Amino acid sequence: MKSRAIALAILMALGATGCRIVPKNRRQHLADPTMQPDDDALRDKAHAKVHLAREGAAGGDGEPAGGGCGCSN
Amino acid sequence: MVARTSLLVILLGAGIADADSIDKEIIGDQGWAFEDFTLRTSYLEQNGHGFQSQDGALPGGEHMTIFQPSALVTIRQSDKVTHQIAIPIDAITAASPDAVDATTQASRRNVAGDFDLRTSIKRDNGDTWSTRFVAHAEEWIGGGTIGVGWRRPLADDNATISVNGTFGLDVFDSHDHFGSFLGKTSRTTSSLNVGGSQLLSPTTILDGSYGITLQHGYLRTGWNSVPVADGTLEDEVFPRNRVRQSVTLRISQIIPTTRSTVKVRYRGYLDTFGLHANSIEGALYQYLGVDWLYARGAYRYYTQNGVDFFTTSLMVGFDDDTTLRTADSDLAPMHSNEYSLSLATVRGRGPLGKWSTSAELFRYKRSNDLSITAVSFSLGRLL
Repeated sequence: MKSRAIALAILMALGATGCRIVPKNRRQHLADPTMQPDDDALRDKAHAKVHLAREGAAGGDGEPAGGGCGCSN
Repeated sequence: MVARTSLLVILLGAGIADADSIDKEIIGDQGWAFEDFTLRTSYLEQNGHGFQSQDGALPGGEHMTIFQPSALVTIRQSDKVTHQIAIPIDAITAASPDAVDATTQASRRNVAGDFDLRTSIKRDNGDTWSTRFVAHAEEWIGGGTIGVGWRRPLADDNATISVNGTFGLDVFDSHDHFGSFLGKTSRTTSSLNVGGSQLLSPTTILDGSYGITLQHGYLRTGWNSVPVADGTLEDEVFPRNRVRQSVTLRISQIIPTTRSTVKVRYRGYLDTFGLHANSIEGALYQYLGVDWLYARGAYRYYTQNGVDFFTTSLMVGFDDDTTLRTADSDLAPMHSNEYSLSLATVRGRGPLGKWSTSAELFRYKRSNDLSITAVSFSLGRLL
């Protein structure tokens, strides 16, 4: 019962964040280069390549899946 | 007369301007142009042992060096259409990581490359459609992937939702663990991914995604061997299908007073091979007294439980074709620690102007005897 209440509270909090929170004239910090999701796309690709080739948990993230096969895909 | 002529000129001019605005509305502003490019070169060295490498009943040497140049170019077709092309290349010099090599020479070179084209098309209603095409070529494998995606901003760009899907086909040589060529084979990979992001404050962004991938076909690595309890070696046997699921959650927080940014990302994964994995990664960006130079330090911890049919000593009495088995150390129970440290300049700021550069030191170490060290340099420019 308590865990359900906690889960519901989290869902409600997440739902509340869907309302307008940050007006456009207060987003200057969000535009900083370090805040971008792809601040260095080639670096992220290179790191992902290591994970893809040397770990078993590739796939499920919109990228071609390999993992554990020794191949470079 | 002058007034009538003037009125006519004004009306004609308005008509022409109106036609131009209609054209721009439909197809966007004309003009192809390169927007920017980035070149990155990495040198990686891998050391360790694993059953991917032939060495009798013991794990073999996994030493290899990789020279990895890559390029990223952004091309604007119009104010609504943008193309991004990524070309990573791996030139691998490997000392006996596989059966084919072990029977011939102490080291060999394998060159692999990708061509990855992503196109974004912005619509007037704020939606962005995207397409993706990837071609992969390597000595023993070739393949391609196509994809399509859609993203919509919500609540005055406070949030976004996105969906994308891909389908890939790989065709490659199959071998047994002696290195004998068994003919061509193939596998398909289909993925669906949904994601979203939300601004939580003027300094905080939350984003996450869920994805599911279905693979079908030849999923094992032909030249891998599985040690048997009686001292012999056997081929791997994998299921023909694999369903993978993953969920990611990331929070990005900029701290204006210290000119820092912190990002924390969690990823959970499970699949029908019985493999469960979790990773947590933290990155700290710190501007170094100026707005055009920053350092980035990151740490990632990863753990996996291994696939159900992993073994390093297969029991005698197995069925050649149906007993699932692998000794691939990539699929074993293990965890890893990863560290990276980099310095980077911001394009468009500081003494480098439109140029940017970065340098990175990367270290990856797995608990089951494998490590990778890499140094990388990049150079880029706004055009």
